[in-house]
Amino acid sequence: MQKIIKIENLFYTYQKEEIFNNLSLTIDEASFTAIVGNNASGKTTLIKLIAGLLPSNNSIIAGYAYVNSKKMYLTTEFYGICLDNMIDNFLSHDVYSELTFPLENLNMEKDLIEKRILEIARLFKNTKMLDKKIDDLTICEKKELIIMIALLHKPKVLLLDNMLSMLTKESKKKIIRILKKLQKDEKLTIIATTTNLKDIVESDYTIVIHKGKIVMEGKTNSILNEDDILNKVGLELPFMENLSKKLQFYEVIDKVYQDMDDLVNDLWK
Amino acid sequence: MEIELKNIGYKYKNKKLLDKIDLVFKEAVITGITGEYKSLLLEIIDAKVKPTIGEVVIDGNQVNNKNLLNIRKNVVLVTQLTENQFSNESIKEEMYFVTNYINYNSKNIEKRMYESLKIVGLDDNYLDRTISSLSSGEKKLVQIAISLVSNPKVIIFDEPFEELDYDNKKLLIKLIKRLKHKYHKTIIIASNDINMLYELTDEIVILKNGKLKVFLKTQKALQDIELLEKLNIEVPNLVKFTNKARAKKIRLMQHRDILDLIKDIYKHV
Repeated sequence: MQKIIKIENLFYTYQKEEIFNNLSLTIDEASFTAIVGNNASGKTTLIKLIAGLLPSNNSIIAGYAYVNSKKMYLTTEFYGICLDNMIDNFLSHDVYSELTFPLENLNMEKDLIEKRILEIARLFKNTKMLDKKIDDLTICEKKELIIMIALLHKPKVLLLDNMLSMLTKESKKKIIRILKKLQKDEKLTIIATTTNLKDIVESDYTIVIHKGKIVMEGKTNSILNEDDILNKVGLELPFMENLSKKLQFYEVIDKVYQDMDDLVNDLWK
Repeated sequence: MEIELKNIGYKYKNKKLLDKIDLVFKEAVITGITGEYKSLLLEIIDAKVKPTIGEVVIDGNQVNNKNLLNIRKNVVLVTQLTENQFSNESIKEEMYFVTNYINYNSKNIEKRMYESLKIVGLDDNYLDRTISSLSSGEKKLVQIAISLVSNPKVIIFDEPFEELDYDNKKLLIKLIKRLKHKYHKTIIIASNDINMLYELTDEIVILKNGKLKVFLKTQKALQDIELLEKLNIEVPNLVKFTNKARAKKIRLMQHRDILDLIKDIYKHV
């Protein structure tokens, strides 16, 4: 598969504190990659470096261009960026003008803008939200709006920093369903960071980072089996993995179950 | 200290967000709140928002403008961490700032500061640390320590575990239990995380469409699958597993801790 983002020998220090020392990784095109790590592991910094919001000295290639924090216009259309603090930083009073602003910046025609906004609102089933004021939105709706804005200009890569936490069950299901659809239909690459292993279950590929180093990476299912390492870097296993690992320890079962019915059926035949 | 809500209602733009809410929060009891408009209800309890109708009675006194300062000392709301949570550079300054704001005077105020840091498990030299040097897990603990300086009787948490990693989550659970058992505080936790509420809380409140649907002992409410399905609330994983085993005529008990469940499974295989 084609690599869409390549990071080679990345060094980054912040206020004399070394955050990344010789980090290399690649991300496949049209994949859903999760980056997990505990608080202060460098997830957000990595997302910002990939997005070009922090200087990376030509060690990151996005598509066919080097990411350069001084020439961000080279990669703006390539990325859709959702950062955690955007929730407090909306520009306009109402949802509709918040959605028009980025498209006006791209010099799009007025009727095309209208069409695109309706399209994205229908995709998220949020057409009612367009008339609302930003102040009246709940945290969930605000997060959905941030993702909608990021997807407006049809980016190649969507960067989500901690976007999947603090969502209701329905909203999270909806967002994941939409993202997977875009991944399949439009070859969207998704990179999401999180502290919670519950959120990565839907992803294809997982990278675990701890103190600025990649501890392990691989297919999400195989990563969830490595409970020793996950616990060591301070991550909590999802319920089924946790239960089966503990039962395995007592030699009651001999493999990890992800489905509750399978486990119950195998325990008591 | 006991908090009583009598017939609380809140209207916004002709829409009833909360309607006819009657609740009692008792001393040394952890009450969980889940459902819609949790945060609004918390702000009403904390006297930050005035209800449209109904009254909040704290320790026998109805909340009004005259005793507001007294309530600020005794009831604290630990909100979700935001970017600009703290207004000062060091923890000490922030503590002075908050105690000044609620007009809390004590001869040995610095001693109180050390004590509240000790309660959350941080040592003395944290008092002079700058806030920007803390990780987000430490920030949460410091935020709680700051709220504890005035020795409040009621502590309200709004989604305390979001964005915390596994280690910090365990720390906070221990801390909340200690606040209940050792210091006999009245504790209210609003959260969407049903599994955590099932493990930690004594009583549970479920709000739906602005109405109070459930106010029961946690074990009773969250083991009632029909009730939860009717309210569209997730069933806790531990309950789900036990019910699936019971459907196979295995006599498992309902457990609130995963280790107890494993011991029970071990007896039955």
